[in-house]
Amino acid sequence: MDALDPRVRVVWAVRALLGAVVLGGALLVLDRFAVSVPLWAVGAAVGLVAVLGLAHVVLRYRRWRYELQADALYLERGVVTEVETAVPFVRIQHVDTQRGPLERLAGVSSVVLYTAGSRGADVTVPGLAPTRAEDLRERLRELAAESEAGDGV
Amino acid sequence: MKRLHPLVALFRALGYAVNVGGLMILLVGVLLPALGVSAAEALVLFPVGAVVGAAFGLLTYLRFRYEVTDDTLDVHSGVVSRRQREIPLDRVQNVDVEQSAWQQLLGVASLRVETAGGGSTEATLDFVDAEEAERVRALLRAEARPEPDAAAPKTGSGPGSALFALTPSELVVYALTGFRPGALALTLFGLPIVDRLLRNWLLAAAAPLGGPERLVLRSLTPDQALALAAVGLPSLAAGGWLLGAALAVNDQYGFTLRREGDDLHYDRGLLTSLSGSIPLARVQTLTVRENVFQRALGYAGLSIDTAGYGGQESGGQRSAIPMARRERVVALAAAIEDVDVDGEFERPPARARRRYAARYALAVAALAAAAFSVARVVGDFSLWWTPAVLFAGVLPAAHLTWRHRGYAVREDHVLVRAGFWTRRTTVVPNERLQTVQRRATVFQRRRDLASVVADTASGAVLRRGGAVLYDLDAETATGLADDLRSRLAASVGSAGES
Repeated sequence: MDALDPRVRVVWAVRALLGAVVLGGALLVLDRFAVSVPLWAVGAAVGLVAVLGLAHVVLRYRRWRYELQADALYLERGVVTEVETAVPFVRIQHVDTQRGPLERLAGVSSVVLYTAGSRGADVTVPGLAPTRAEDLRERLRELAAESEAGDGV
Repeated sequence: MKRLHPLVALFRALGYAVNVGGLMILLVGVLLPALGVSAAEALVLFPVGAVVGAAFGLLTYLRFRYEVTDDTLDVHSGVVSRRQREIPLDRVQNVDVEQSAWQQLLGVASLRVETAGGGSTEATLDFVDAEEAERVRALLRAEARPEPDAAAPKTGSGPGSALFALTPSELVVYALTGFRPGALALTLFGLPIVDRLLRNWLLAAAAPLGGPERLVLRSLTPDQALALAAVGLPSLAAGGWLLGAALAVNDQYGFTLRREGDDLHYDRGLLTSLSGSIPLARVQTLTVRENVFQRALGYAGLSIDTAGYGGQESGGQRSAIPMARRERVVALAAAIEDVDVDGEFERPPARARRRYAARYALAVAALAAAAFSVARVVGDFSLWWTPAVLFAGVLPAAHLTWRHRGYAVREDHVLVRAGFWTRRTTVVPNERLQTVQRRATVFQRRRDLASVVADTASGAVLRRGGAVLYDLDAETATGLADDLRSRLAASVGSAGES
């Protein structure tokens, strides 16, 4: 089982902190235009959300595992809800690599697999070093082509 | 390349003329006076708008052309931005022909073509000559044969053989036992029409329960509101129920299902007649649904999921049987998928029941707390404790939820059953599995439980496709997830070689 690139934690942490900042902003707007919210409460809420978010990032990173198995890509992830997914190569419709601005700054990349399924039709493996992401994409593409059976529906 | 029915040109021209002309009137009435243009000058715009609209409508007709080639359905359309669409015939999932009441009078019909991709219908011919619609349908169905598939012909019956016809008593059961939220909305919509009559009746009926003397929203006390709700909501439900029954009769009247080669073909409808094809080789899942009344009477319905149907009409499912005696449903399911939808089902472990009880108790507590806070804030609400009565129902409800959940692993299928009010039994063929997931929330892990999701490519958007096996023992879930994976690998391997 492979772990994700440690740098993905930076991406997740920045997102969690941004969420906390947005919450703080919303509370300040609420205080300004509707009911009064004491400043210490705003600070406490932002702090709590930030701490919980960072703890979630640490646990999430620890929990994330993926592995190329004989017939499927196998993923383990999730903190509150633990999810283990097997995506059979025959069912892969196409594969993307994606890099958002934050991911580019942190120097990581994501691989996204698309299936014809209706629930979780796209499965993302986040936080891979760019070369590794490209290798994985190419490998998945080959495996999907090898195991071609009909139209995958 | 062919065009749509000539009448479409007339309808489109008229429609766009009225729309664009209307838009001009809006411009004249609202915007132009502000700019200081006199009304007389502005009125000239209406006929101009109407002519431009009519021309545009005519152009949309002229630009829309279609053709069935040897291996594709080509549709060219668009005035401003043009689109040329080619749909490979072997990717066509379903073809439906619809004739509304006025279309029947004119002898025309609309045709819809669905493929697995995208969220909406891939091609719509709205509308063509009824014979032309039938010709295109037959052509599409004849060409849209996917490579011979293990899932396809499982009954030996020849082409055109009738599989099922809805009897009048089945139609009545279907109409009266179903509940259609859409009809409820329609009832609400119709309320203002019978306003005064309804008010007086509502007040009279609510009076013995402590209802108000007059219907003035601002002066209602919570107690009076509760009395009104106790009378009003059931009446509303009854109205919705009756209207829903009428709509159901209109929808499913004369339902027949027959077999045409590798397709199932249905015809139904009273005012609007609908017919369509469901390719057997494209069946993703089967679902037997039976609500509590239907179970008591021994009736059930069967629907078929394919990968087409992006989110319209009952969320991607087509009725194979709207309603029939249970034995007939079981027999047809066996004919389509060679599986027994009854038989033994494994229930979740008994400790799952405690989870449901805890969940329902929390919901009731939340409701009671909400009512209590209303009583504190508004006052005059001596009946705030009424939601707490629901606590009595928590344990029975938890038991019923538990009792109706189950799963069965058969040779070529996984079956999942859930729901007390409407019990759904979903059949997932091994070769239709897409991804397999095992999930466990914090609450499930506390009790050593986990769920397994067997995803399929079915178009059922509302319930999301596939099937969820809720609250299995954690060990069992791990084993089952692995089992499903190897089943998929085995079935796809054998299908790929043939």
